[in-house]
Amino acid sequence: MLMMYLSLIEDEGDQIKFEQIYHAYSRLMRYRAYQILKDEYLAEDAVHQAFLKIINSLDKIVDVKCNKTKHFLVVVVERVAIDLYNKEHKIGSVSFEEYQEMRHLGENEDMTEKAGLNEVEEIIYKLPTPYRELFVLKFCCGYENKEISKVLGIKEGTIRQRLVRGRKILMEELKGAGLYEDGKD
Amino acid sequence: MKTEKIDDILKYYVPSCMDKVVAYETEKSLEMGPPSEEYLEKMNRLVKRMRWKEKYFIPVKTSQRIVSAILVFLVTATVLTFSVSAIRNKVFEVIHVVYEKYTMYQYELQEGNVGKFVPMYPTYLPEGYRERTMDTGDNYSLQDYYNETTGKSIVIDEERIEDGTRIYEDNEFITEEKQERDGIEYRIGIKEDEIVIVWEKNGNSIALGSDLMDKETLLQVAAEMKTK
Repeated sequence: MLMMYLSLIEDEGDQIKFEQIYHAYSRLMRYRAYQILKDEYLAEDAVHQAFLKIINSLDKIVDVKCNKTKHFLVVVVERVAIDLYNKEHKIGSVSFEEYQEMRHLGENEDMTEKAGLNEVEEIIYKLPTPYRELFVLKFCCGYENKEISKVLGIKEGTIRQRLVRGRKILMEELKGAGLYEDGKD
Repeated sequence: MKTEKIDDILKYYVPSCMDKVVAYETEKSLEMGPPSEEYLEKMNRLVKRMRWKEKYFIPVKTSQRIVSAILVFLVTATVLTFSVSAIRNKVFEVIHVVYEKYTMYQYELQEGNVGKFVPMYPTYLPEGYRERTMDTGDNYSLQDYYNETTGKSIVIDEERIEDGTRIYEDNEFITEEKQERDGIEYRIGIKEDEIVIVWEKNGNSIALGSDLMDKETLLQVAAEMKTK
């Protein structure tokens, strides 16, 4: 009975949540990881590691098919891929500044045109990854700092600092583009 | 737009930006070639393990069930554990949440290092049981022993307890009991056609599930598990 259960090929309705996530998003995650790593085998490793991380956050995924879930998975695999990239390039302890320099890894495509981003969205998309991933988890996924800390393995204090810094950078970028003004709100 | 607060901008434009990017990348990902056999095999093993875990410990198949879960009580306890490979002690705070259908134990590392995962293996198995699956990862091990004559199996899932580890236990057993042997507490859950035993040892959480309805034999298997 037990082994029958294990060997069952079930239809989608009977699939466990983990399996549904795997079937729905592993290809997207592999694509995202490949954009960073430029190596198919490493990208596969990144996806596998990302799924191992996701196991402890399964209860946070309420609706498998919503965009919020997609964004969460993309952030997780992106983070794993960047860590793998660092490891492969022997970057043992990468400084935050160095890390920021990697912000456009895999993002050399003109997303503005291809994905149809407007001016504000383009500025957000081009934010350094350490800030953008926090904004995604906070404003797309609705995570608290403590939850983000667990997902990314970063101290809560660092998250608070990065959020402040990220907001400042975004504000400066928007101002530079003439899309934001102080003091009128 | 110019006078909106920065957080309002973030709330509106981060989701819209990421929706567009992910939609584009989803489309582009369809152009990718098939993954390697090795990757598929690894992912299939992971899915299989999760199926087993969900069957016993995460009885949540739909989102609705999570939403409707009723929080009964929340307690925290500090647990001191020792690792066979780590010299330093580890101190975990365990958040114990009882829901309507299941109980969650969340481990939060307060101090120490989780150390290296060292799996344990049964040194005793009832007659006729042979290894059928052995899947060992960096922090887990799934072992399946099968008796061809009776068609019954003993499945053992081991997992290193790390910061953030969550262990789920089904609350829907017909009977539940605890037994202590050599200082280790074994939690035993019995259903109509399955017995599940859960315990912690050497910094690992171990779950043994079987359709062999012989509690004493299964407890002996559990108690006699050792590292190689």
